[in-house]
Amino acid sequence: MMNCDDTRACVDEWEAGAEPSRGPEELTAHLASCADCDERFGTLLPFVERDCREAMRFEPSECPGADPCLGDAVMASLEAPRRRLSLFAPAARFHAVPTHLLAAAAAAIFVLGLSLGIYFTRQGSGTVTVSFALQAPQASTVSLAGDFNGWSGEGYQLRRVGKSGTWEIKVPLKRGKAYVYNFVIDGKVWIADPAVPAKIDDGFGGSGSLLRL
Amino acid sequence: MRAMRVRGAAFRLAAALLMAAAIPSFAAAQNLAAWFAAPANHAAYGALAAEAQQMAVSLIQAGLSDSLLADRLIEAAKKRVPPATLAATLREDTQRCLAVAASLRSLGLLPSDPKKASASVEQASLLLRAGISEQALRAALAAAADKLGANQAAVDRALAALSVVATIQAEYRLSDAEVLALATGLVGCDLSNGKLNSLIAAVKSAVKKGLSVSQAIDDSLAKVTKGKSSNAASEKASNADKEKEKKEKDKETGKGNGSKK
Repeated sequence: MMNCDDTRACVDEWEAGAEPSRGPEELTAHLASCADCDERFGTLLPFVERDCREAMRFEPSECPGADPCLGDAVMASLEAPRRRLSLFAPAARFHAVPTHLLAAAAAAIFVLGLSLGIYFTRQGSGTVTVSFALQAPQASTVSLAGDFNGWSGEGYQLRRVGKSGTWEIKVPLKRGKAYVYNFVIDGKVWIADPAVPAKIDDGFGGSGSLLRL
Repeated sequence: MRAMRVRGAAFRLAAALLMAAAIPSFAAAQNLAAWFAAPANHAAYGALAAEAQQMAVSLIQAGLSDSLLADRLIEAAKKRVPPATLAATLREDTQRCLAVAASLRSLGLLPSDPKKASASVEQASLLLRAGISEQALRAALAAAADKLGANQAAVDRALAALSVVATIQAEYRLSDAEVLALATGLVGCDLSNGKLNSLIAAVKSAVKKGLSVSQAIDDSLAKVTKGKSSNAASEKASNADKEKEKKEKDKETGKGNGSKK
């Protein structure tokens, strides 16, 4: 059972951006029994719960550009030649390697290095999987277009979920940035997200939705 | 001969790999001229090219990139916007971007790198298009610069705070004074940029409990601002603990409340 100090520590962890060491259920239980903590932290509880859920839901495998095996594969490809050299060639042979082979190797390492940079940046800079949903029972297709995908819905088609007319897509986006987006119904009707109150005048007679992560 | 062939192949491989690495940089550097040069774009919007180029020059002279306009052209083309509407919007966008850049520059917050400067200007312009006033933008930037210094962190802080203001403003009609108070309060509060969104639900929750929007904002801000609420409350709690301890000591030593007289 949590006490008031545990609760405060838990909220501090959350505010610092870390996953709280105690689950939101324990926090909820304590707030239900402690009026003082409830007054202090009650309004933050939904956000702690949300972030815990997000932390549990976010798996790198959901992110199309961030294959969790990619890092291992690239590292393996970098390490494999080194192992072969150390097994079959004495160290002195390195000095005899022709310059053109060194140039090719340097270029390869440069390119592989870029790939690693992209991969680790995506993982390390706070990418979060955002779930977009729209209730549109009459629609034949719904896609997502915004400033994060060059306003092209191609590859961003929402998937109809069940028979309720709800369409859904999950998109990995970087934190710390504001985005504008529209849903495109049947490839021609551009609408703002009805669930998001903040609208952005697109200057073309319509509006988009503002999303800040 | 064989050695020459191997050497040639290796150099070709190196060149191909370096070219492959460089392609994304070229793609990212696509500017206004390149956009208008595409046949489909030229056919639909070619008549705007000269005016758009002039606007791009004014942005570049202000230390920004013409990508600010190129991105809007891409959006307009996808939405099949008529050329006359697009021309008017580009003029507005250019003026807005120049005004934002001037605000940032006056506070020493405009990066010298056009790419970074454009990113900040683009994000701030979005907020203006979402209904944030230029006055609120300047106030938030100034408050952030006071708190964090004239650096990118201050810009990020102000923009994160104003995004929250834009959302709350969209739900509740806020007066100019409330917008300013909320914007500067958010900049100064203890929540990290990523957690500022929590204020939206806090305000909603307080309004549901019957507080006015203004009270809800004050109440929610107080809870996340040092020395006002949670800390004040914990100080209060710790003072109460101390008092309790004192009372117990008093009891042990045979003193009662009356002994304080």
